[in-house]
Amino acid sequence: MSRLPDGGMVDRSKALKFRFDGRLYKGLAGDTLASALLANDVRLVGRSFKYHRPRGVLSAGSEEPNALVELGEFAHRLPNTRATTQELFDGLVARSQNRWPSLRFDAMEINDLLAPFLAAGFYYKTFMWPAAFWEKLYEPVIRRAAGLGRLSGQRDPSEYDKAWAHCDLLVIGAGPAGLSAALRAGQSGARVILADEDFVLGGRLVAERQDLGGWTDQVAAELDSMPNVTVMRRTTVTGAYDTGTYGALQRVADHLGHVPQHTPRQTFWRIVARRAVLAGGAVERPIAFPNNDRPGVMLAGAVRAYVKRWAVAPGRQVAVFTNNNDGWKTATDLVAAGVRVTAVVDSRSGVTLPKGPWRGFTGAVIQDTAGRQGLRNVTVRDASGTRRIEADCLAVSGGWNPNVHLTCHMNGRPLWREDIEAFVSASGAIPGLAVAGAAAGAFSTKAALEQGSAVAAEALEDLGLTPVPLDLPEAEDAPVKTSAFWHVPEGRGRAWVDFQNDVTVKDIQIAHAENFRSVEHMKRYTTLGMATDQGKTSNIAGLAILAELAGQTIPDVGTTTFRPPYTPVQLGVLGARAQGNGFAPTRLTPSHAASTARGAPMVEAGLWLRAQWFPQSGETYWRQSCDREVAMVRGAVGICDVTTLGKIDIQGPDAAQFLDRVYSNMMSSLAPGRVRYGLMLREDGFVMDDGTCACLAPGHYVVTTTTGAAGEVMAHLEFCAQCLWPDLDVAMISVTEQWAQFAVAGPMSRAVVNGVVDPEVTDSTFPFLGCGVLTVGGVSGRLFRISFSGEHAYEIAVPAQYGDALYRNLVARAEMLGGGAYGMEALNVMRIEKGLLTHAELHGRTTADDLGLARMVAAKKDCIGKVMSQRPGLHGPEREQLVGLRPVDRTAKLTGGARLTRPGAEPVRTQDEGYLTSVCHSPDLGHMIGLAFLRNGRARLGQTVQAVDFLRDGTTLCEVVAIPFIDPEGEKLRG
Amino acid sequence: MAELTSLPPGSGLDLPLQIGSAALAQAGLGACASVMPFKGQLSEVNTRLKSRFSARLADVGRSQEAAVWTCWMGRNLWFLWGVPPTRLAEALAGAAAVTDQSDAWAIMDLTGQDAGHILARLTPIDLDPGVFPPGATARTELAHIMASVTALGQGYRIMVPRSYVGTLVHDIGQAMRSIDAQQALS
Repeated sequence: MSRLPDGGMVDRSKALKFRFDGRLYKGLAGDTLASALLANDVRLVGRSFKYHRPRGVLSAGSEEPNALVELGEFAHRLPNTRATTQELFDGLVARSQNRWPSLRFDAMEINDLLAPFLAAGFYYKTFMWPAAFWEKLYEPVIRRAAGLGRLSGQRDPSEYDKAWAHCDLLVIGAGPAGLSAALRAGQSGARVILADEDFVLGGRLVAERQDLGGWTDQVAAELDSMPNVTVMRRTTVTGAYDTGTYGALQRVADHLGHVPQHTPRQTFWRIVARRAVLAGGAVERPIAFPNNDRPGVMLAGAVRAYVKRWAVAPGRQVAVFTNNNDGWKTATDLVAAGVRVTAVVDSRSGVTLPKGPWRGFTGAVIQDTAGRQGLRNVTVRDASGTRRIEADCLAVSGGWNPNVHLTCHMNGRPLWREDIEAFVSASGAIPGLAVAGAAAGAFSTKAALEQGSAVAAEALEDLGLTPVPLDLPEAEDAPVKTSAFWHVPEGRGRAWVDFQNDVTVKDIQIAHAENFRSVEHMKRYTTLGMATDQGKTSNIAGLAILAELAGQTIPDVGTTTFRPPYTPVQLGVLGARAQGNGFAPTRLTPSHAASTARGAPMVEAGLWLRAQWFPQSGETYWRQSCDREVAMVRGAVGICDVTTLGKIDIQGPDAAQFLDRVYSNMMSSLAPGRVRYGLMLREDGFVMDDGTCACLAPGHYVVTTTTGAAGEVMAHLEFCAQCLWPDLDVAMISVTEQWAQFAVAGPMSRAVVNGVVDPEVTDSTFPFLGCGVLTVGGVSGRLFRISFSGEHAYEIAVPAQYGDALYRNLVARAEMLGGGAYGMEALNVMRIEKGLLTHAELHGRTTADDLGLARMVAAKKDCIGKVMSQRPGLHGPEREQLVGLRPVDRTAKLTGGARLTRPGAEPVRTQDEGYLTSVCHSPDLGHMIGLAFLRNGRARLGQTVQAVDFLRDGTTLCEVVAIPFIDPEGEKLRG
Repeated sequence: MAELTSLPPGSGLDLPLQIGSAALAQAGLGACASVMPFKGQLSEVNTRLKSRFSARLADVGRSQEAAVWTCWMGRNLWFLWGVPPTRLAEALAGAAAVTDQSDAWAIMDLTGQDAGHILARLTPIDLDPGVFPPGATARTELAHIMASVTALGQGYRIMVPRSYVGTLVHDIGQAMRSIDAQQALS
């Protein structure tokens, strides 16, 4: 065991059992999986992406490129989980990934021996030919060999959630800068959200021996107790977006062995913040040197963190390799904790190393390492020569990179600061966001505390709040002393830059030599920074090496673009509340319960569910039900719920004028008690929607829209009233939901209607296209004599609460007359027989003339779309016009979407003359019929065309006929 | 024929819903009418409302509890509860467009100390009492539905078009269960 005898923020009274690769281990409450593995001397935790090199823990945070594991089992299995951020819980099960058959003996390690052939660009050069082999052979083989964790292949049974939050100040990161910012803002009365990806607050304060005593705990407790402050632990702010909106992933239950029912594993937050402070700290950068990827080679700050926070010694003999003073702290901290430090190797010449029980080397580098599955020793080279130093852990520090990622999410470019050899964010990169502490390049604790407090005060003043003064504790204020050192230039063996994607210094050299010199090209050619860690530990070194090769400075080379998310986000949580029925709301009609009780299958129409047909005993196929329902309506009477059609109430002194402008045909001449069919055009002259307009009283109308276009038409009318003609005095509101409305259609419809209304309806009180208010079953209702079936028909409306009762009553009455309920299929058949339109025909590319409705664009008045509809090319014989089609062989099938050509013509694009929009089997005619758009169709009645369906059944010869197919004089309608 | 029987919105749903400290119940407010004053008629409408019903239209973004409950519902649009729409139409003839909306909306009250946390899962608006105090109202999206949300003091009043009530109750119920379960987490 490498657990130190005392110290650490772990609960030694709470032992937690966990399994890694099937073996049982013990950790402590407060551990991460990584600290628990290290405490158990498990150093080899994974295999690298490409070469299957043995890898161990590199870091102690979310930047981890190596220690990625599969967490959980079966459907719960989650690949690429960072062991460094995964909290340990009792019963945790993890497996190493990207190895076969086992972590220690990985057959794919052969790739490592083939490394000379597998450098950057290998795939591009090797798998060029034959082209057909790529998809069938190369890609599957490569995919099997490469890659990280495996998905379970099963549906993820976990629950996820999404939520919104709002605040005055969002503080991102709870290190010294974040804590002082949140505390000051909280004490000043602002609404504060403090988010940190860790499960304890403090950032580097909990990782360094030089902490602030009890200050961190005290501030954490104070923030937790403030009603105006929300502390979000285990929450990573993943992206910065427009108008102060930030994405944040909260791991609600990822730290629990048992997730209680209904508990989301994670919640994805959209935080809307008036101001924000980025106090996300910095990531330490490694130095590239030969064989720098062995398990045991770690970041120096991480080594300190394991010792201080988790009381774990990552090695028994630790060597330190650094280019900066901060690295020295590792040696002193470790010795103070009783860990043996064998050497301190500093790349700088002329510095004086701190005194300690170690061998010190300046102007020195690590030239090589040894130990296949775990570090055994390192080779140090200085001016006097090389020597081997015993070390099972090498703590490396190449300096620190401020976490500027979020500031780049809106295309901000970071700026290079020579004094700290690092990029910092440009000011104003994200509107309303200020950067503080190490994230802003202020690396001392004192500077971080002061900056946090200062930027919070600035933000508060911006918001009109008065910042209270904040007392800050005494803290270290060591200046940054570093000298850029990115890689050890000499030595044999590969020097890794990007551990997760297995990119070496040599790969960058190849890219440069092959002229991939733009940083964006180099990135894509080598894949540097393109793994799940997005190159947090590798990007800057990659740039530096490229700059060196190009003889440029790092800022001249420029950076690649950091994009959201900052750390990986599971698709499951992004899709939270949108699975299954959560995808979209469902709207139910007043007749839903009655229809379901009759066994009607439902079809989606917009968001509505509508009954498709009403099966009766003995009917096994939908066509049987549909044909029966059509015959029933045509022979007796049928009832159909048409509540879903949009209904808009329009009133006002200028309502008639308004309607004249939005409808192509005249509405101002409509008398009270009358209904008119209407057509609306878009501004571009094409048809938008059709429907009816009923005049209830002078200046009071109810217009109907198609089900699918109800929202679109309402928005269009609002636009017209608010923006085009604000001078018109007109008021409109949807009444779709107020009225349950049912079609009563068929020769016996009046008998059914008269059974429920008072006073009795006659041809003179309700002629075709008449409407009025009357009493229906004791309540005030509306009756419209309109038809979508070609039959004598009514639509009867009552307040929605009475819809269920009225529907059941109407169906019962119809059944007594040999009729009954009919659904969408029968409705569709009857409207095709009658040549009536739906959005299959009004699909946005058809004009009034195409539809045979040119006369509905009134000559006497103007309307939206009229001028544009008169453009050349929007009418005339070159247009595809609405016609009817029937198969020449009456037993043949028609299919919707089939293309039309002249008989015998080759079915190619240049021969195309139109298409079928709607087809059905007509029980009245005994064969299939269809509506189609055919070039110059109205002049081609009696001709034949062939319908070619490329997706289904071949070719059908059709006859062009006039529509409607039945009752062309409309006698049934008026009779 | 016999009189038609009434079925309120949400019939057949498992209501009221009590999960943890939160409760979701239908608010029976009775008859409701929309009022859209014609041009220049706002003060005339308020005068007539005051004299006939001791009511007035609430301010923009506000609802108002008086003899009748009025709620701002959008541009030049208010809803009034408690007066039969036909009477209101009569009273406001020539001054405002009035429609019957009694059956068009499902109205639910979500109450309990976690009501805000529950709604934060479903609606993007800021429900903090400092921003959205009792009486404040907003038209917004809630559970993918165009809704009206009003702060009550002890919770929120949520209105959605009647046909959506099943989805609304399902989604709020799901959020209630989730929040309740999260209260128990350490």
